[in-house]
Amino acid sequence: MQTHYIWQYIPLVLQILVALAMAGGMVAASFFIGKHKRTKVKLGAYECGMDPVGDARGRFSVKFYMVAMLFILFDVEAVFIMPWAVIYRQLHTITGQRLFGFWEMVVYLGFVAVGLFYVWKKGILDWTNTSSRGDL
Amino acid sequence: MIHLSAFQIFLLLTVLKIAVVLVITLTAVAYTVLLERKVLGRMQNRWGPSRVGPFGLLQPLADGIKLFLKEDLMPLAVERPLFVAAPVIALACALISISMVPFGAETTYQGVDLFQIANINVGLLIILGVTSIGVYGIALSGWSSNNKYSLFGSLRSTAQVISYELALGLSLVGVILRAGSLSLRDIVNSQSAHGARSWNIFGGLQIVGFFIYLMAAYAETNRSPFDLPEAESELVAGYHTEYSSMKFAMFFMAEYANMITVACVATLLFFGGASSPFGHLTDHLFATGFIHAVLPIFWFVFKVFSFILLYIWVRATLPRFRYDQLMGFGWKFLLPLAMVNILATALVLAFRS
Amino acid sequence: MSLFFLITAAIAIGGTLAAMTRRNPIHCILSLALGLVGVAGVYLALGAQFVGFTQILVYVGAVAILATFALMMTQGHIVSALIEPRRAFSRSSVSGFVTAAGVFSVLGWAAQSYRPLTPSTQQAPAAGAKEVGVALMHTYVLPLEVIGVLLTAALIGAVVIALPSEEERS
Repeated sequence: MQTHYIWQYIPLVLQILVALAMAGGMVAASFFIGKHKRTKVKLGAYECGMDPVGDARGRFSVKFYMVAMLFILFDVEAVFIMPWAVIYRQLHTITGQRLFGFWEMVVYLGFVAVGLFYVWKKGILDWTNTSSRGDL
Repeated sequence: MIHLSAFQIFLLLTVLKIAVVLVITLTAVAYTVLLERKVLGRMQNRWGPSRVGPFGLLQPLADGIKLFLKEDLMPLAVERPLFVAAPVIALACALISISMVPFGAETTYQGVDLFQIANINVGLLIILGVTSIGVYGIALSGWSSNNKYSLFGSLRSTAQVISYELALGLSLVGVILRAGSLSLRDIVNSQSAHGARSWNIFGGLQIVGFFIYLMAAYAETNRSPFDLPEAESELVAGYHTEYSSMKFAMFFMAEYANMITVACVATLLFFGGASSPFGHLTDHLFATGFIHAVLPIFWFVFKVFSFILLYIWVRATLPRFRYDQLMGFGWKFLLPLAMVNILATALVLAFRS
Repeated sequence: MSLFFLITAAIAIGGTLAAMTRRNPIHCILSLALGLVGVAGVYLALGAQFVGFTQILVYVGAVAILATFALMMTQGHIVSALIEPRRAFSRSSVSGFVTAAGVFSVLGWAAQSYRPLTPSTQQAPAAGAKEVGVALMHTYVLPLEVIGVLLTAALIGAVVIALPSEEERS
């Protein structure tokens, strides 16, 4: 029946649409069902009952940004491991060597580990150590 | 009798499956909340909700009605479209991944698999992708709220989730190595040969991988002991401080739906999915018929339920991490451990096959 | 098949167009993310299953998140300063058009000189995880390891740029 593999995405697309519709419907329903009584204090930003002080979008530690940047790089590295893992058990029949795939990944993960080690030693992963170079 | 083409049957069954699964998931979400309150109550020597209905069983219904009737507040300082979009993204992403999960043994009717909504052969990758999109819900809710607690909670939460996503992804590689596929169906089949003996956590030697997955999954779902984004004592309620009524409830539901998804994935990857722990030993007892088809679903639900209980137990037992401990644990312990686990699994598999 | 392609292509183009034209930077980032989802859909339509979902995982789930993150940490008045009136022929838009023209001419030339894409009609995707795996781990082993080196270099570079130099600190 399924002549084309695109067909297998139809359920996924449907699920996405239904999930979005349901979530959107909930927002709309609660908007229409609930009553609205607006007062100035109620609509202000919550700051433990005080009047809000300053702008919420202040300056944050650059460490958060560093984490996101490291995440991208390690994510890309992880993505290359997936296809390796999928064909690992057939690799020795393709290459003819039992441990070819293993050493391949040792080298690759070795590079990743070097990167992780460098970041670690630079103190990027420390959140408390104020004497390290990662302190900004 | 109207004659339907194959495609129409496929479409009809798909819609039916989606409806059934979503209804069950949302009911499960509501009752997981009740279960948590009950079990937590008992663990803390009190009763938990017991007034609404017998044993408090109607409590979720009462909560739901209450949340719908509450005022839907939109503070003046918020960025309106994103403020509304954030809970929608969070809940929708939580509900999408469930479509990849095979709930029972492969049972086809007219060429359509009855117990799995979408059988795509990179299902695991899709679950990871949907999880990574779910981060937008958290990030946008904090940013659009224009509130200090929300913003800080969402920054913390985003950083935490993306950090543990790495460990999560790498912890699954051992399982993929063994199954040689990213399809959840194949992964389950690779563990079904000899019952519990061939489950990945035992026979597949993935106990370390399972440990990493479990830790990372707790952090991904912002659950205790990694629930820093919602640390009440410092951040009020974290990224959903400004949300009220159903929008708040949607974040809540998203958290529990994610919890269920994560429990499903743990079951599928490490505990043999819908396969029986006794392997084929009990097959002759239920060789045919209804029980034969339903028993796998029972095993699946039982395993998922156990994971949810474990979640609640952990919440009742462990204190909250400190933020530096949290990040250190993810990056300095789980990530290297996951890499070692990959290489160790690969080495063992190279000599086994 | 072509319907799927048309929808995803429309999402990709619409998303990226919105990313260029919206004023509010966070809307731009989100539109870009949507455009990248569309591109992932186009990959799927062409049979590149693994690449398609990887696109979502890496670009939507990581790269666009980084941009959102950067914006979240930017002070409010800086964000509003970014929203400036746009002139038709500013230096940036001209250089953008020149770059776009260059890229598109190269792409057009590449599309011309190769055989037209034949949409795969078989049951299995043309490039699932297995096919990518065989290509990466057997045929292109050396490039894979070079990618490993490249990513490590990028990691070190990112750290070096983000950390303040010794003079700045003292």
